[in-house]
Amino acid sequence: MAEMIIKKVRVDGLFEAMKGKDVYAPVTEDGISRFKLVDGTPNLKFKNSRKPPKEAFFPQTEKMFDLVKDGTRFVGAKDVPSRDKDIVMFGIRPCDGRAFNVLDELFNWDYKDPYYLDKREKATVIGLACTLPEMPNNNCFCTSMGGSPGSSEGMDMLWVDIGDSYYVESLNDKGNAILELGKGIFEESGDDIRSSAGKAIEDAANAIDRKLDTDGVRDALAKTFDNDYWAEFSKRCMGCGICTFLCPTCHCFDIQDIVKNGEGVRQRTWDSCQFDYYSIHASNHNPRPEKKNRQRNRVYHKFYYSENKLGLVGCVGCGRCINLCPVNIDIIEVIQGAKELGQ
Amino acid sequence: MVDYNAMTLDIRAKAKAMLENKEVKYIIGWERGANSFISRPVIIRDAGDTDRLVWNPGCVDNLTRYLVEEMQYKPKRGEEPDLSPVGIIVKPCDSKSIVELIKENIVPRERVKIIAVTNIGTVETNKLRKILQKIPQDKRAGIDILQDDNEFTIKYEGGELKVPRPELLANKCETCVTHNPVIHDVVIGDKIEGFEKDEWADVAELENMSPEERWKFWEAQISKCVRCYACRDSCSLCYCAECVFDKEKPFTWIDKTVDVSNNMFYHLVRAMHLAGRCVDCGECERVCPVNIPIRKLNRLLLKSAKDRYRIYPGMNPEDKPMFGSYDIADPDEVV
Repeated sequence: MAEMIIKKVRVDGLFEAMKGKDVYAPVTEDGISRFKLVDGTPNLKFKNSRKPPKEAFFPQTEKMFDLVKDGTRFVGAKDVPSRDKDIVMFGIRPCDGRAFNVLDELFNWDYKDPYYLDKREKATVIGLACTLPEMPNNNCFCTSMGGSPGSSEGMDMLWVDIGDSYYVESLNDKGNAILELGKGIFEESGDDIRSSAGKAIEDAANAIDRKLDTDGVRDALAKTFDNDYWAEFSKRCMGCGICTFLCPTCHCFDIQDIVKNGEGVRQRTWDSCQFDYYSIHASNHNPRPEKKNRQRNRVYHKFYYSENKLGLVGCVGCGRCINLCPVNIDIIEVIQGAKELGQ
Repeated sequence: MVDYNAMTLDIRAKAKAMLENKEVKYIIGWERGANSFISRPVIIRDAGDTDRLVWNPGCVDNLTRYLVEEMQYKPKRGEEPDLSPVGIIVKPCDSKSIVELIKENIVPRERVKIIAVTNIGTVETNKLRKILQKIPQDKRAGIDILQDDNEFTIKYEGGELKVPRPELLANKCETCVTHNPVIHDVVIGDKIEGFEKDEWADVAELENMSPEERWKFWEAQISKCVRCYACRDSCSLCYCAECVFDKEKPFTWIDKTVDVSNNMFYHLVRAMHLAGRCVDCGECERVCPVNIPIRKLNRLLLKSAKDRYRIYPGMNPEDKPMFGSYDIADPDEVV
């Protein structure tokens, strides 16, 4: 692990050195930020992105292969070529970095997903610790989910804003490669720098006022599956896809063959367990016919099934679903309620 | 100064009486949200729970979508259908949705008891989020928002913050001309007079753009869409049991590809399906997670319907729907 610093005025130089790679960074437009391919140096004073960075590795719409035609019939498939450019994900917040861990486990689970892994393997994740005043947000609760404003899980490098420069921690070879690329731009760090970075992170952690005690959640959920509780709070759910589409760990997708003007592709697009047609069978039977079934599935998937299957809790505490739910379904409140019932 | 506290008590008393007298099976209203920033929908079945109901400028939801859900509920096998009325609390803008739903035979008038409030405006959630940053984090729980003709007052533990009206007022309320309910069984609050505004102030900007400029504007906005369908799901008039955009059998009308072309198709079709029906309650724009100004699209259609066909939806249940009526004076340049 190498520690360095980079002066804010010299960040431009690093971005210059990274030309030739696909650099994704938060871009703020109309008051909301989102990870986009950038040309120059992004503004690093940003609230966490509205749409999570998962879209760089797992785009909302992704071509899987072209359909190959013989005459009028489709007879085969032509694979999408592997990505030729390296990716740099810049400015990933610690919650979203931890979310990559969940996605890595999932896409490496029983099937190695080539689309996700191709991009993930070629990517270097440069995190940016949450520090005041931009972060934390109203409903951040990463400290309750095992994270912290300075967590470096899922990253190759972590930067911490310490005023006129960033404290930089390289965590592995990919991070070291960036240090190498920015040789002469990064400078030596010292103990006092490390401690002011630690202080900035601690201040941010202290500003997080939403808490969820996760002890005993699994035991409680094991008992409450059939409780009326799920019907009660999900009555106000509208059934839109906000909580899932904007979740950094949600990963469900649908596959469609799109044929237009005689050409065809197979593609996958994000899907949401909150949509009623998500689970509908060919027979028209729907195993999750009501909102209570769908909301319950979302909660169980994050706090129960995910841990069984992947060994990781599916929630990183980014607070997006709480901030953006139009009817104030608050996952902290929901879990606390379930815990009280299951005790 | 609007006395929200007195109105809340009044609502609770009316709701309690309705439940106790079995006039309604439940009441759809607002309660204080978790973390208390904004109120949220609640369904009250028990007269003892009516103290949960609140009325304040944070009551942003148009609750009529839950009324539609009740009307469209299909009893399960062996379940007796329960057609007794439900109670609902509405703002003047939401009351227009009920008029439209009655007009379109979705809500039978006798199946709803309407407790309507008079209102000078609600807050914009996005604006509130920003303003809350000025209040210390540990003081944000339990805030209260009050309002008079000029400003909002945000009260919190140990202090208060005065905010000029435009800085917190919902965009839709800036051009609203309906401050008194258009349909009701009970009215809560004093009749509101004055408050004259230019209803179409915000539309002029778009109308004055050339078609190319307008296309560019919408292209940029619509490209942000994530197709979560929150605009549709929040809309009380998007009540199709199976939406054309969900339909997968026998084929799909639109693919799930998220790009400008498909997103535009979705938004334009939805807008056209609402032409002459949308009452501009503003829910679509409020719920949008990526801040697309969806209302602008609907308002252009609202204005066209008014200017060209003298149709202004949501005012009178006896009116004929735009697509269900014909007048010899209608412009006919495309026929």
